[in-house]
Amino acid sequence: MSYPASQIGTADSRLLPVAMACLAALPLFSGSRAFAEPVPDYNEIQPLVEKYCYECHGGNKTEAALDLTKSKDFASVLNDRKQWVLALDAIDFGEMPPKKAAQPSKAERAQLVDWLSQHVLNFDAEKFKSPGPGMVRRLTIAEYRNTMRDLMGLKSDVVAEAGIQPEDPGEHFDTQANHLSVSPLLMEKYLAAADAMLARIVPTSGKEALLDREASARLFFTRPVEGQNPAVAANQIIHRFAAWAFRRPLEEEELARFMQIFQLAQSKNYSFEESIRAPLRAVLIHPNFLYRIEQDRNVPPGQSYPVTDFELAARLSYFLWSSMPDAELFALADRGELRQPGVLMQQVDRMIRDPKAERFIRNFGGQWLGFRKLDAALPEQRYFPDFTPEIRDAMAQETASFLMHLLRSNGSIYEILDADYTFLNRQLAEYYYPPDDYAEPPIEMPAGDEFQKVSLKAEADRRGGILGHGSFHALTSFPDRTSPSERGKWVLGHILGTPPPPPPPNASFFDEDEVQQKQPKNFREKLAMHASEPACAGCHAKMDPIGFALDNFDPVGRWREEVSGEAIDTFGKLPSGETFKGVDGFKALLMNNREEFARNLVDQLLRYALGRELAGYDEFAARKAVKELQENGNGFASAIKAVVNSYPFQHRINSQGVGTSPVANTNSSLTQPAVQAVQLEPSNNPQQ
Amino acid sequence: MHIPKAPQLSRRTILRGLGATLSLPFFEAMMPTAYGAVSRAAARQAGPPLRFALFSCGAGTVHESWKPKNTGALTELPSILKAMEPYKDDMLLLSGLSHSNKGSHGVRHKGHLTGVLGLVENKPLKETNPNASSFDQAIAQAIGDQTFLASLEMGNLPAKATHHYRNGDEQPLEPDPRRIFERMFKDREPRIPEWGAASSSAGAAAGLPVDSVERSVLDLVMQDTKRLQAKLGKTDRDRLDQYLTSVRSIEKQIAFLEREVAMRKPDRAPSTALDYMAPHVPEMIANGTYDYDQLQKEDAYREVDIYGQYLDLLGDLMILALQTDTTRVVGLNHEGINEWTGVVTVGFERHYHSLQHTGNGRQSDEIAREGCRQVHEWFTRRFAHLVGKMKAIDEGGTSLLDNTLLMYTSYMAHGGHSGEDFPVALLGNAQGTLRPGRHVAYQEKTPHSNLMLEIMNRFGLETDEFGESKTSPNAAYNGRLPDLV
Repeated sequence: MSYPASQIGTADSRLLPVAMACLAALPLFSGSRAFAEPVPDYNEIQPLVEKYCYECHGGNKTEAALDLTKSKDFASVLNDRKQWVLALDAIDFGEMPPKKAAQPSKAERAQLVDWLSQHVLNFDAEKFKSPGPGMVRRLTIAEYRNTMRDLMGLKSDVVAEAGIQPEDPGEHFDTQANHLSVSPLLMEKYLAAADAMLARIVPTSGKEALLDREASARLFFTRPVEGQNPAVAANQIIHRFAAWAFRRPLEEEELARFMQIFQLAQSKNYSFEESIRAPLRAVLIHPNFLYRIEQDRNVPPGQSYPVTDFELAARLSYFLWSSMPDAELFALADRGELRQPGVLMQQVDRMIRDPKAERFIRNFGGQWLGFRKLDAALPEQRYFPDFTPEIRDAMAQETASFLMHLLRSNGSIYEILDADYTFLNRQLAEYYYPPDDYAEPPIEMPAGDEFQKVSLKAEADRRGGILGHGSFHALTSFPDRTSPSERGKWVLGHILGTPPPPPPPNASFFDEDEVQQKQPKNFREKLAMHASEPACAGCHAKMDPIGFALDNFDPVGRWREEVSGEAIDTFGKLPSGETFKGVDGFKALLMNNREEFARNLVDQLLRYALGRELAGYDEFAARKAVKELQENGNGFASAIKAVVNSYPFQHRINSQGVGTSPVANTNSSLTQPAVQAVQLEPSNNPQQ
Repeated sequence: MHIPKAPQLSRRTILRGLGATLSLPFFEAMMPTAYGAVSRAAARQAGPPLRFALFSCGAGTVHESWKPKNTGALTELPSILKAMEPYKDDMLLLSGLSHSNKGSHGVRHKGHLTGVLGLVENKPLKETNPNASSFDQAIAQAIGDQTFLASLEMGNLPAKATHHYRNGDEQPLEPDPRRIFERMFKDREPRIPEWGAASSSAGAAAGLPVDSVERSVLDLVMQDTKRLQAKLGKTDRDRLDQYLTSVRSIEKQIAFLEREVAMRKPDRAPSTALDYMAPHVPEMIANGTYDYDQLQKEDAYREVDIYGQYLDLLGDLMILALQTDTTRVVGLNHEGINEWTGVVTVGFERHYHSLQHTGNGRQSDEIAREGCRQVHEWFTRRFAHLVGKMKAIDEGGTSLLDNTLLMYTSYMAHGGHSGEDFPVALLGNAQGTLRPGRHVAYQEKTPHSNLMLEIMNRFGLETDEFGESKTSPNAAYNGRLPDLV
């Protein structure tokens, strides 16, 4: 059977989904297989956790948004592994319980630490791996917009025409399934966008001017022949359109239902085109189009299996292109060749070179490093007249071009931390280095409007790497001043993957007496007082020193030596005791912690690609990907390949088996665990 | 005055072939809701129906300039409320209403119309409270079948936040005035119904023909969705439930349109000499000159006059929606703008977020506090315009204000994200179910949920609990509010 990307099937071709052919190859799970060791028993420490922790971290009161009552067994503990590892540290170092609370005895503390160290920190990641639940995931608006364009190669942006606005997801990726919802308002707009698209590809009376002839020709690749039943041509047209839209072959009954609409319209004397239009409308608002829906298999709950080639093609194309697969990917999937040796990686290479890879840079890079929403950054032109909208765009372009260069040349990911070059055009270069202030430009100045790679020479200490990009500076400032706390928080979260938890509920207030006692000498001292509240100090001690080290960059990315007449003190000391001075000093510190950065980058890529937060059962895959990346020269493209090769990217478990939202801890805070953890089964998949 | 013509669109074209009067089977039935049944009798009364409208601003209020010192009859109004002086007799000021949710400071207000507890940063409400509806949506679910749109949410909160939830699902806001207008009138004409005439819901004839092509499109996707759901786990089923609900709302709209079209068949004689009246459509919408995108691009959103114009325009659209009975539940959500130059005239800080935090709370900067007060006074002045317009619209003996329960509030009590003592002003007498012209002070920390419950009851929802009305640690008055009427 052939997927209608290249060949046109006849009206009586069997339309077996490709997935069914794959089923025969999978061994069934044998339930009698036993673990080498039993699953750890959380009840061994649960009473201690209840006794010493629940008062502040359970049910009614949840300090730092941590609710330990959600952990009920090992599976749910593993679901929240990240927060339990932090808890382990806190207990081990005596930070928790806090001094004024009841303290566990030495033996009890040791018991907690031992259990958590052995079973959580040092757990057997491979044994407890899982690809996580398969999830029905709505296309993000960015993905939907691209898909609506790529489906028929439209020239116009019908999604923008329909007034559909992109999500503004906040601290997580827009691809996260549990944040993607549909409302009646959005459905109205889906219909409007569908109608706008159909007007471009189906000749409609009264809207002839809108017709996009090329796109229309792609749709009407065949026409009713004189004397032949129009249903024959209709069947082929609708079949191809729907299969492309659903990103997989159709089942016979599915196509038959669409054909019923065609027949209904024909019976009402609609023209051929109008009769085609109605079922296409159904396709464009169908859940199989608007959502990414993968097929469950007839296997026991919790058992993993590889996704079909079509599903893999879609995962790949939405990861790297934020859109549907193209003809080549569909053809490979159709022939079952996508997983043949070398083919998958060849495709990744091809996709990276394709212009559509811009979308990966924009959607992944732009969310991870924030430059996708640079136009909403707070610094005001009122205070910084040179910080025009064009400069904002240019700054976003600097970081985007930089990442694209790393991607296509497979440059080292550590250049994101520290590089001796950046990407500038003339306008941005002169913004950073105004000719009036620099008689001799300290860098290689670019000539025109195009962005090009620019050697930073001696300026590399300052401007090399993301910490020197104007995008970062503007995103972490207020309308009229820098925010050292925001800059520190950004680095901790986006670079190191250890974001501080949200502020406590009473964050606005501080003690009147304290304020009146001391008069702050400068901004740094004022901020220090502001953050001296015990509830605030813990996190600010980690954030603020970083921000001060970077304070030579003003809110809009220019270098300065002083603020309000005072020299800037860029010395910083972290609670760990590490010290540094200035941006170059801090960069050196980061480079010493580059493993953390590599791991964070892999985590971010996985979160983006999988559309969910990570849990303990992802630990194995993440570690493996980091190793793979390191063994391949630390290249950015290698990181992506490691993710594509990873276990969760290529496998799934049934939606039915485990039920609910998979994960607990988000990357951004110690939050509550999911309602139900993933059911754990040993992996018996011979392919992994 | 130019009224935009409804364009010839596919729905009308398709309906060309249909002859008989159409009706909606569900119109005749009782509509059970999660919050109790709505009495059919209440829905069928002659005369204009009761509407609900919400005007919600950001950043709370400045209490000493909002709350009158005395309770009882409103005499001297504090400075923020000065603009409401002409409407004192229509205003019921309530104080003491609070919310006990102690979630982290960024999320406490997310569910302020739901009264629920346990919200968590970065988690959608559906994960922590899967069945929670905001009270306006509970009302919309109960009475929304009687209008083209069950409800209308508009405004321009940053980060696309919304406070409206239906069974845990976010109901997003539409920020663009032109699109708001299109939503309402793309396929219909803006007309004011004849309230007081014999009930216009007389279309009780045959059911909708099943061979409508448009219907078959919706039927297909809904049936396919149910087939899919049968194979999925709970979370995925719930996600697709959202989809189904959304498609059903489209189905209802089409059915409603078909009925409206049938009602206006040329051979049906109008019951009075005056046929449907045409309401006022704001000029900029009528002649298509309002450009929302432009507003965003040029940073004009940071200009107070332009923002004020936007706010007024949304108010006009709200009035249009209610007058034409396009919907009976509207929410206007206004966060404010980033910079209040021209409104804040003291000190040097103009940035809204900074003002809120330094000007509120126990330890606040006096100058910043005055700045906040100026901002809130500005909001109230805008609101007063809206109230005046509604009061001046005659719906056949009663004004639109008389027939609306209009609520002015904020999702914070003050700019520090506090949940204690929200500013609440109810305007109009809600068809005799409120006694305005007073300030009623409830005991400290009385759950705001009690008020939401009382409002729901006035729309026929027979329920005796909402949000934390019974479960709050500060539960009071048996979960209700005495002395409203």
